[in-house]
Amino acid sequence: MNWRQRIGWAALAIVTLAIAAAPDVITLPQPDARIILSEATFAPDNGGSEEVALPHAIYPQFIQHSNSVRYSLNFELTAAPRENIFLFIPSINRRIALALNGDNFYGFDSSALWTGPLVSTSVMVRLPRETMVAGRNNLTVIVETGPFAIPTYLSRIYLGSEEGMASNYKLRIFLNDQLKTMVFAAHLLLGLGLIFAYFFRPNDPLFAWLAVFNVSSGTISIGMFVGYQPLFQPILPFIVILYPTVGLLLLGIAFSLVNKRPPRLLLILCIGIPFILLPAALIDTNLAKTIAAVSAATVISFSFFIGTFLVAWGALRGSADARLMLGPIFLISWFAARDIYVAATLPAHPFNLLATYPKPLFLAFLIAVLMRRLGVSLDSLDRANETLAIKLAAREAELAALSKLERVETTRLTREQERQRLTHDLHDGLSGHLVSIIALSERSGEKPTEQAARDALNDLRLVIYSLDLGDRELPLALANFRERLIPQLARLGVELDWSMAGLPEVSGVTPGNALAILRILQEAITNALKHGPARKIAIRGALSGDGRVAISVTNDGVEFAASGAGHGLANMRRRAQHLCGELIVEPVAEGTRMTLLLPLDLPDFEDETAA
Amino acid sequence: MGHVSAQNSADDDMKSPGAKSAVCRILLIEDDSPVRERLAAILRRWPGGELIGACGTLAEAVPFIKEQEIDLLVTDLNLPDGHGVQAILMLRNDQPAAEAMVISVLADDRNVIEAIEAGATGYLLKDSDPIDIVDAITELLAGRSPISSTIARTIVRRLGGRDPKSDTPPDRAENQTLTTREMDILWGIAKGFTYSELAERLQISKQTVPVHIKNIYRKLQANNRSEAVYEASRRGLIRL
Repeated sequence: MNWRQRIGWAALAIVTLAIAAAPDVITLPQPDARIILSEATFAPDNGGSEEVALPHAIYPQFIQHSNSVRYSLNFELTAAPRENIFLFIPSINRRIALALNGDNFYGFDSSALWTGPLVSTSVMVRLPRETMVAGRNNLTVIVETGPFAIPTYLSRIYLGSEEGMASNYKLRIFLNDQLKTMVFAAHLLLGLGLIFAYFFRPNDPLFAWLAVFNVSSGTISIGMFVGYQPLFQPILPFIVILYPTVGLLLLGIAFSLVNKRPPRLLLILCIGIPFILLPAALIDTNLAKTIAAVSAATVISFSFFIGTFLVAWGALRGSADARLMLGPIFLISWFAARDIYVAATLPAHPFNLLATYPKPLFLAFLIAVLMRRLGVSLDSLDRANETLAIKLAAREAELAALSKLERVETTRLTREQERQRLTHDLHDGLSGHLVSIIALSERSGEKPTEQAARDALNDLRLVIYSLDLGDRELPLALANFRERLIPQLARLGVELDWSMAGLPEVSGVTPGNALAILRILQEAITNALKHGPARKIAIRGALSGDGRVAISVTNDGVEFAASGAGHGLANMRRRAQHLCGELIVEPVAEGTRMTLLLPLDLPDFEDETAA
Repeated sequence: MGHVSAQNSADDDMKSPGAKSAVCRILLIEDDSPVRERLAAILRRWPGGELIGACGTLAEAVPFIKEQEIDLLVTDLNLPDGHGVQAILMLRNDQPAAEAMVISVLADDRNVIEAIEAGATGYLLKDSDPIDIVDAITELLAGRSPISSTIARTIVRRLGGRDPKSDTPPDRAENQTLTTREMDILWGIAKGFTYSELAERLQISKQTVPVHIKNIYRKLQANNRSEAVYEASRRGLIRL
């Protein structure tokens, strides 16, 4: 773990603790009110009454067979008010109706409490001015108790101007209603996302647990939502008995997060507990409700405790997933425990159940875990791709090399076949005829014909031999040339002094450029013989001073330029230029020297035979 | 093979290996008549030789090979009724002491090496001057064989391309494997060195180079004779 990661984890831990402590550390500001009502006469609708102090919380079970309770509050006005007076109830967790001096002015129907009994809301309403009188006024708050085992709660009631209390009301509406609406929406959306994730990766146990968890908790959220409408009210007890399952499923998620196989018992309980609690839901008496609620609370707190412990253990062992989830699962457990404590002890401070808030946080972090896993697999995929790409490149290079080799070999074979075919044809046909012509003209003493035929045959050999040349075989080409040159010069009585021992290695030799070189040499020799007239020809291969190949033909005859061998020379220069070379003709002490300078790597061209 | 010595060739007596007579009895096979006549005229004019036959086909040549004593066979390769190699094989079978030489327009490596493997130890260019032809024959009879760099390269490639020891019986391997010196010579020629350059490099006499060449040819022939004979007999060319 590097320092940046350490800071990240530390920040996460601090934020988690801050969130956990927030409800108990931060107190919302008091509304700026003219009258604060903190005492009431509490009366269940089945009789009896008592004086209570506000805020007041009570278990519906203690007020048997009562569908609503009444709080009767009195306040004094010195005179009939000239401006509007507003009533502000910062926190209430049931639907209420309000009456002023016996006149109902706010009824159950207009109350927009929809997110269920675990949720508080605020109410701010204008008191009807015409009903208010100078002196004592009576306000009656009727609180609906059903249908849950959760205690009803009524905070203090504030009376004052709209300006004095509106900001406080807005803040509470935001925190209680709007934020919870968002939380509800976020819960459903993230849950839906996680359910989808399961369909794309059904074999992963974490995804499976997440999917079932979200189906169950989503069902509960929706059930709570619709169950508050009178039409769907009968389903509420059945929704409540699903709560333990959600707790157990969270435990399953915790097991998967630390890569442990959850015990089989967990699965059995997930399905079994709702069935065990089913009678309670069917009976639906207050006692049954209490049993269901207490069982649910017990199972949930037990599951959350074990789950938090498991994830903490995983985080300690270094699992990144467990570290990411430790905060949210701690918060969910903490607020659940806090809610249970609050519900069980009904403390004096404002009664507010908070377990809903961390749910989207929990889901968001689950998505973070999935994203992390996705990131890790993408990374490993990238690495695998990279490795594969490298291997592929190596293989491709190998193949390319092989293919090049094969191409070279194929070219060689093709050339070989072509040469064989050509040789065969020339051997059987043309060259045979040329030899016949030589024989016939020799017999009849036709010297020019014989010479022409011999020249033709020599040129033919030049072409045929060059066909078979490979790279770096310039010495071979030159040797072939020498072998043909020897008898030619011997007939004329010209001495040949040949040495290619100093010739550097030349690459890029093809039949085409080799033939071009040989033709230049042939031309040089022809010129030397024709115009020279040379008695001795020296041919040398060497490395020139400027790092080029130098093949020189020195004859003891007169200079080329003086002999007017212009056309032949131009031809030779053209060929030399084709080869990126240069032709130098110069007089030397022995006579004339023609030097062909060529690059060490010859340019490739194929059609020199045609030139 | 041990009869060769590096003598000066041209003015030397025509002492053919295994030949008893003073003159070299020559059989010529060439299908093209102007060429055959030209070569025949050259050979007839040469005092060192005696042309015992100038044939245009393989069939014409067979009676000579079978019945007459021959010192040198000079044959074209492409014949109307067969191949010069068949005549060489027949000669080596019937008269092992006789020399064989191929005449070729191009002296290209494949044809020449095929002939060498059949038993030829020399080759001639068809358009060679009379003096060259006579020179080549005398050189050959003196135990010296010509070689071109192309042929040397092909031989080098072939030797490098297979392991001669693996496909020949071990007791004959000694005869058939080229010596280091012979390999050096082949490599040198294949690389384009002249005989003089080669002799200087290898610290040998220039005249011994072609002697080595002839030995190389003999070894090549020994290497391939069994195959060649088998092949020839399979084709019904010779009766074993």
